[in-house]
Parts: sequence; structure tokens; C-alpha cells
Amino acid sequence: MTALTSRPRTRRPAGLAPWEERPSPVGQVGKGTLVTIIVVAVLGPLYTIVLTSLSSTATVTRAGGLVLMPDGITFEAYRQIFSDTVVSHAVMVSTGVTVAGTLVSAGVSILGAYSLSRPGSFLHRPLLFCVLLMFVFIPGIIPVYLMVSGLGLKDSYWSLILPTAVSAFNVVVLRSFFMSIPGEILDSARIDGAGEFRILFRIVLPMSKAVTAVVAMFYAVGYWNAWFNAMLYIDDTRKWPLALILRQYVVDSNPLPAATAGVTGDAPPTLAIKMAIVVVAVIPALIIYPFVQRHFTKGVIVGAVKG
Amino acid sequence: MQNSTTRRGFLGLVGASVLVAGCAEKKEVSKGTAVAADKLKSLVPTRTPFEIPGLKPDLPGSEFVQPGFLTRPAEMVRAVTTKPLTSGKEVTAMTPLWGTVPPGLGNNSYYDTVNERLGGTVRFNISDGNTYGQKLSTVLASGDVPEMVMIPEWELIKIGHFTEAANKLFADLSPYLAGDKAKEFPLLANYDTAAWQYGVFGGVLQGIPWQNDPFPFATFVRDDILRELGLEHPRSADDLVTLGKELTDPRKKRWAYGGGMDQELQRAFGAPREWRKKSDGTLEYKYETPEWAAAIEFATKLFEAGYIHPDVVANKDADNKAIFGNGEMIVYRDGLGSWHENMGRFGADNPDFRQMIVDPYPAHAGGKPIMWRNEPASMFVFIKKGLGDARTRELLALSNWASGPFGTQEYELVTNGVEGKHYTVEGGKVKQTALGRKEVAPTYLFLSGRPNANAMSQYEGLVQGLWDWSTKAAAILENDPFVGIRVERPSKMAGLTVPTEDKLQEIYRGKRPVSEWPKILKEWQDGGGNEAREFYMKVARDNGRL
Repeated sequence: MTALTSRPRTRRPAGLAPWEERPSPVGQVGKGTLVTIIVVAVLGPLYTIVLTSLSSTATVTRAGGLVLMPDGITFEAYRQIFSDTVVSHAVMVSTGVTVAGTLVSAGVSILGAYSLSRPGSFLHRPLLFCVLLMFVFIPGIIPVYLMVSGLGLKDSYWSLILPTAVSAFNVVVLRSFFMSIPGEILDSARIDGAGEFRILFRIVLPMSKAVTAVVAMFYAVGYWNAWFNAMLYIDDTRKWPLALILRQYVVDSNPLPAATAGVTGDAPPTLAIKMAIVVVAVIPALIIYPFVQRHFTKGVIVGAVKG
Repeated sequence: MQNSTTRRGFLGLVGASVLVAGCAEKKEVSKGTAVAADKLKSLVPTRTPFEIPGLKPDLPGSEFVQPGFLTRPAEMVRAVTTKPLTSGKEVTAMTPLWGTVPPGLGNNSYYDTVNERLGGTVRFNISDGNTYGQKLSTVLASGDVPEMVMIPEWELIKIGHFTEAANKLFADLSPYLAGDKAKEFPLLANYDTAAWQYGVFGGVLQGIPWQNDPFPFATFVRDDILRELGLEHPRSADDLVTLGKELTDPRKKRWAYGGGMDQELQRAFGAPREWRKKSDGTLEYKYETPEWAAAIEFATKLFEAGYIHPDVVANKDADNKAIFGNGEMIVYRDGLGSWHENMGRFGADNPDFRQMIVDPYPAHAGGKPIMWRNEPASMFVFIKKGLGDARTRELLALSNWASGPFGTQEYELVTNGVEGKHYTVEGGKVKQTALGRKEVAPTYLFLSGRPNANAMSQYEGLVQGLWDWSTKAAAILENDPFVGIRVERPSKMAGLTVPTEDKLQEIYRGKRPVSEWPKILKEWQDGGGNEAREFYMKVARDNGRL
């Protein structure tokens, strides 16, 4: 028995944990293959969409749909979608709503989460109870519609921001992160005479960049992609955001305004134009993600496990 | 964390919310409503045909055949001499749009011209027709409706308790339109009576109807491609098998059939559109007929053989027009309006594009085909309740103006815009300008309906072809036992339609065996079909139809 139990089960270098040892060549090849497949699965569609948007109608027709092999590059699709104001105006609307909405949402969520992270603050428990209540009592569409309508917000950009301005989930994530900051640091700031706002902006937020960035990105992506609220509340077509326009052209295959379509008249948008609109819609997320990505894991995990 | 909500408290909260939600879920179920044919007559306008001086169709019209105009009239008649909007108040209207949204007020010369002609401004709330139902149900449920709302029939049947909602939110139009009162609005009085009767909800005239084609759909073919391949139109459902084999060639990215062919097969095999009177005096629903079962079996064979375009196999709601236009699919079923829509959409880029309509065909050679009879109206305009007598009359005058039929200046302005600006006439054919394509969209057109005319003479062969086809189809039109009676489906039956039809689609695609159909039928019968039969039989008995 002694001999059996004392024999090492694997040939592992002394002092190394299983996950620290060098993988076998087969394991390395397997992992490499798996990572390659995942990368191709993620980047493949993006590559195809971008390539199709840069292809001529003839190339798209030859390919019989999405283009996989490049055959000349043309920016005609982009020229067409931006030669009329419909898409470019929608991009501006979406950008404005996203920036303003993210500032409002992040601002309110940070203030709310900070106050809820400080036990003993004014109406702490009832307010916390209300936030938790938002998890279970999600208001239906009709009460929200009536409220938006009653407040005179219909056809206003605020109707795209206020109904979804605060997410209880994000408030709880922020609150959990703020609670993980040692109380001694905040106490020392108070001893030095700092007020709550100064503590929040000079101490808490600089220490919470990761979670703040992630929550802001959650909000920003939500506003950028928001379609339903716009469909419901915005009657003036000049105020339509990009998501609504995207649906018009890409999903419904409606023709581009004739002034841009030239001789094609009422022909549906070619696949290249559809993909160009998709690229325009995806670009902001592609730009923002690399900057936020380094905070992403830390921000979400910390917020998720503390509290 | 000491001050935070306890886990027990939180769970209690969840439990309480579930309890509240459970109470809120309890709903009343609509058992269906029907308005007797006799009562309907007293509620709607007396039909007074609006004669346009000098306008005589080249092809005569009849009850089910639209008059055909092979050329465009040289002069259009002004039907309404006064401006309908007199109060100076802006009109708000919610309409669907299947197409590119035009520039809004202030940036659209078409709007400016029409509003000037109307004597006031109409502010449209244009919504994507494909998602119109989602917005509509929210707006109706909130009760915050615009002054005029266009509601398609296929959307209102999805809304539970629609009749109750309509009665609560929209005006009763009988005081302004019933009988001879409609003479104040001569273009509205020009409508078909059956279409008006279909605008009665819960015994109240509420909807200004958009008159329907008498036939719900037809089979269309890419005639240019059939000719190129030396093939002919199918003359029976059996022909679809041989035609499918000849046409389908995936290497050339070409498939024979698109979506909706299953419905054409149901018609070809002789199944009724909805209910059918049996020899024993009871009613049977289309699902219960042997013709329906035979059509399922046949349709499944077309799917199995690979004759259906893969986009349609993957998604029953695939964009049929797009694959028909690019030649990937050659034969499909669509509404009659698709003929001119496709000619306009694809003809500009492809001069060879030629769409033709297929004569109604039976299941087997030598058989007698039937044609289903369409509902008399497909969309309705509602006017908000409580606006007062003067405003309601003003909005009816607006609808009356927008109802100008083919041959009137109103029709031209609403449909095409201003000549020389939004369209030109070349060789007697209307051609939209770039500005017209950008600015003119069906908006004012959706503030009313109008008697149909077969007048798309700008598309070669369409007027004559449609008139010939309609004449043949009218001769074999099947009568529905509920013609002229406004029946609102019982909720249970309405709720069964989508799941049952989804299972049918699964049978076509081989996800369920054909032999499972009797079981699905039994589920439909037990789930509400039999109950619905009782309701419909009572309606039929009350109206002397059984």
C-alpha cells in the first residue's frame, strides 16, 4: 500500500502545479486548432461583411451573395449611402443619443450606486429595496408608453434615453464594486475634510475605472442598438436613429432614396449597400471595444462576486 | 452589508411579484362576435356610383372584375372642388409604409403641394409596415391614438378584443354616413357596399374600408425564364412536379418554387378558404377536409424533391420578391398587386424581366379549379372618438378627398404627385422622376380606400392579362358561407392558427411526418376548433346560411 500511495501519478516536474506544466505537443496543436476555429468564427463574418461592402455589384452577383474572395475594391456602396442625408443623419442622431444617454445613465447609476454603497446614508434601505424591486417589477410597455406620452416626451430624443436610463443590474454591479473599496481610505479622506462628492470623484471613481468603463459600455451599446423605443416613440422620420434605418434597408430591403439610387429607381439595395450600412452600424462598437476590453473581465467579475 | 436587504426578504419579494403577476395574467377570453347581415345594411352608406364624365374603361368591369384602362386618360377630372380641411388645425394620422420613408414635413414638396390643396396640414406618423402591429397594439392599449389610424385587417385580427378597443377608441361613423347621409361625401358613397359592411365592428360602423381585390392571390411565373427554357405555365398541380424538375438546378442557383405555394395547392385541391357547409348541414373547417390533407401530402413532395428555394425552406417568411426578381426562383404565389410592384421594382434594371399570371389550375388535369373569395376589405381607416361633430365631418371630408378613384385629379396627386415634378407622362405612361421616387410614398393614399381599377398601363400586357385572368377567376369563385357578415374570430381559434400552421410548415420541411397531420388536427379541434365551429354554426343559423 505504501509503495502504491507514494508513487507519483504523473511525470510532473517537481514544484509545478498541473496548470503550470508545459502542455504536450498534441495538447498544443489541439488548443491552437480550437483557438483558430474560434478566431475564424468570430472574424469570418466580419471579414465577409466588410469585403462585400467594398465589392462591386458585379462581384456580388458573381459570388451569388456574400463575397469571400476579393475581386477589386470599390467604395461605391459607401458613396451611395452617404450621398443622401438619411444614413448620415441617422448616424448623427444615434451618436448624439448614445453620448447623451451614456452620460446620463452612467452619471445617475454612479451616484445611485455610491449612495447605496454607504450604509447609513439617507433612506439607504428603502432606496436599496426599490432598486432590487426593479429586478422583479419590470414595467410593461404600455405604462411606460403612457408615461412617455404623458410627459410630452413623444417625438423627443429624451424618449430614447429616459425610459431606459437606469439599469438596476448596472447599479448593483457598481455598488458591489464601490463596497469593495476599503472603508479606511474613505474614512481618511473624511478626516482630511473631503465631502461625499469629492470622495466619489477624487477617490472612488479613480479606483473604479474598470467597472465604470464596463457599465458605460453596456449603456452605450444599448443606446446605439436601441430600436424598439425609437419605433414606438419617434414619429418624425428625421429623428430616426441608425437602428431604425438599418432595419428599413437591411431587413426590409427597402430601396435607398431615389436621389442616391440614381437609375436603379426602386430596385432594392444591393447586398454591398446593405453590408456597408451594417459596417457603419458596427464601427463604433469596434472602436470602443479595444479600449474597454482590458477592463472588461476585471470589471464584470469583481462586480459579480462581491457584495 | 448589514443594512442590505436579507435573502429571505428578497425571496419574499419575488414570491409576491409572481403572485401579483399571476393575478394580472387572468384574462377574459373573447368568444367571438358577429353582426347580422340585415343589420349591417342599415349602418352603411347607400352606394351611389360616382360617374367621371368622359371616362370609359377599355375593358368593362363587373362585380368581381375591375374595369381595365389600356391607356391613360388625356384629362383628369377634379372630383372635389372645395378644400376639405377648413378648421386650420393640423391633422394627425398614423399609417403603415412598406417602402422607403419619404422626407418629412418641411422637406417634402409633395407634402407641401397636397397640404396646400387640402387647405391644412396632415402630420403623418409613418411606421414600418413590417413591424406596424407592434406599435399599433401599444398605441391602442394606451388609448392615446392619433385622429386617424390606418389598421390592416391582418394586424387587427391579431389584437385580442379588438372590437371592444375599437368601440371605445374610435368614432361611430353611421351618424355621418348611414344610408343617404353619405351623399355629403360622394366619393365615400362610391364604395362597394360589401367593403363598407366589413368596416362594422361590434355593430358600429367604424372603419373606412380599403377595398380588396376579390381574389386573394395567384400563381406568378418569370415568363422570360420559362420562355428561354422552352417551358409552359402549369395547367394542374400535377404539372408542378414536372415543371419543378425542369426548372430546378442548384448549380445555376435556380429553384422552381418560392413561398406560399402550399396555399395555391390547397386551393387547387379544392379545400375551402375557411369554413365549408357539409351535406349534413354542419360546418367543416379547411383543416378538416380531405382536400387539405391531400394538399399537404403534395406540398411535402415538392419540398422533399428540393424544388423549393433554400431561402424559403430555411425561412417561410423569406423575401420572395427578391429571389423572384433576381431569377433564383421562378414560380411563386403572391397577391395580385405584386404584379405591378415587381414590374416597377425589377423592370427598371432588367428590361427582360417579364412576370405573368397563371390561370387558376385544378389538382389534376381535367379537374375543375376553384378560386377562393377574398374578404371585401383589407385595411380600414378609423377616426378618433370624441373629436366633436365638426372635426369628425372635417376628417371624413379629408377621407372623401383621398378616395378619388382612377381618372380624378385627386387620385393622380395622391398616387403620383405633381406632373413635371414628381412624374412625367411619356407615350401615355407615367414615369416617376428622381424627386418623385424620393418624396412620393403611400401616405395620403392610406387616409381612405377607393374602388379598384385595373389601370397600370405603363406595364406592358398587365392590364389585359389581369383582366383576362380576373374574368376566368370570377367564373369559378367559391362563395363563403359568411359573405357579408362581419365575424370576429373567437380568441381560442385565433390563438390556434399560428401553432397549427407552424406544425404544418414543419411537415413540409420533413421535421414531422405527414402521418402526424390527423394528430395535429385533433389538437386543433380539442383546443378550440370545435368550440369555434359551434360559434360559427350559430352565426350561420342566425343569418339563414345553414
